[in-house]
Amino acid sequence: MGALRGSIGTSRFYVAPASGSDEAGTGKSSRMRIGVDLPEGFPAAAMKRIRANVFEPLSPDDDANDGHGWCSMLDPMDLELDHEKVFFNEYVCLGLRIDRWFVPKPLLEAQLREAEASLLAKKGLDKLGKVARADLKLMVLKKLRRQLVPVTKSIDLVWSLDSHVVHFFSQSPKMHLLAQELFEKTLRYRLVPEAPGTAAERRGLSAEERKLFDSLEQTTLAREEDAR
Amino acid sequence: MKDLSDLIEHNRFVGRESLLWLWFESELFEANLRPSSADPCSLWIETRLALAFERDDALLKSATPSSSPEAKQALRQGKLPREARLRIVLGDREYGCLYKADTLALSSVALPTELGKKDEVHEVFYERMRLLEELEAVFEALWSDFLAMRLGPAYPKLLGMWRAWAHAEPVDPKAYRALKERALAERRPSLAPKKR
Repeated sequence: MGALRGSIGTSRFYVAPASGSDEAGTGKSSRMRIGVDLPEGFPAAAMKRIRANVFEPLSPDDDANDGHGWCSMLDPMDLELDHEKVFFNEYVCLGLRIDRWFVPKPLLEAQLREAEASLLAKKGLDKLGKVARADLKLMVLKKLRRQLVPVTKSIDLVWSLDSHVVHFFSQSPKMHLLAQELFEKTLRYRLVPEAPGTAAERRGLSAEERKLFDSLEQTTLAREEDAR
Repeated sequence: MKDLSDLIEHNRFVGRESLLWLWFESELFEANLRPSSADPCSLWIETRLALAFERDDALLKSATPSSSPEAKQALRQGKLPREARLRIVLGDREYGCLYKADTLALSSVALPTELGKKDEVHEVFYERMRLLEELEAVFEALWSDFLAMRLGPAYPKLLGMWRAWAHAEPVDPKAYRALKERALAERRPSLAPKKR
């Protein structure tokens, strides 16, 4: 959870205009813009887009094995999002919910063997083709999913509208990508990961300082005599 | 416009250098740090210090890993600190975190919270965010000071002091403080974050 309890592991992102947007600039500037000017009526427009990208529960009949979308930060099972559940004073608070079907491999293999034997007997065949076997596997998988519930995970995301900083309470690069994609799709702003280069840019380096920063070479404290 | 992935991936080692600088200042000033745009704090490395050069990694775990002979030996071999468990004291509030230099990320953050499970959930959230942002403001102020030194004319002298320190040669805290004050005074005002 992170934002509400437990020890915190957070990755920081800066909110920036989406690439190609008017705010991002013409492309002639050597500086990347960090921070955005929120338009009037932002909360209502944001809520509409958040609701459009809310998590949709998985169905056993879907081909996809997982799905993700927004949920309430306070309760991952709560998908009825409204202003009060998302806007906490200057913070936009969301849960990134990721559900995944987990069918134990031994169970799947046993059921698949049984289904394959039954089909072969029914059709009077010795062996199934590759495509037929893949179809059968998907059918067995969907049948087994009906007896299970998906594994649910939720990661807090907190956007401070004052500082243009987003805290995402996971350090997994895979989760970062999901959050970045969904955030940009939903709110039309880009999440720029904090790193020494972006943190330096955020400080507002001059063109000369940026050039200097780009040309830095890694420091070594070794002296020649240390190598001997 | 500079490619975003370039901005992110380029010069990640500067994060390691900033951690080296924190370690240096902490040792030189007996943990008492004075960021120019935040309140004074105490900061020291405890229990875990990882140093790396390319794929060569050294992980030191002890009560005070940065004071072990192996830590300075690793610096003399060209390694830089990659991550460290830090203890930070701001006024009467004590924080702990694992600082990951390549991404400037904080993990396993221990906050001095007073509210708990029984309290109203929004209040718990505001308290945690306020404390987390207070901690991050200190790191931002320190990062800003470090950048001013790293990009300014004072850097060659700083490097000389770092090397002397890594080789157990004396470094004069007064001379370093004067060097730092000059560097911070010379930086462009826009580079200095506002005091919170």
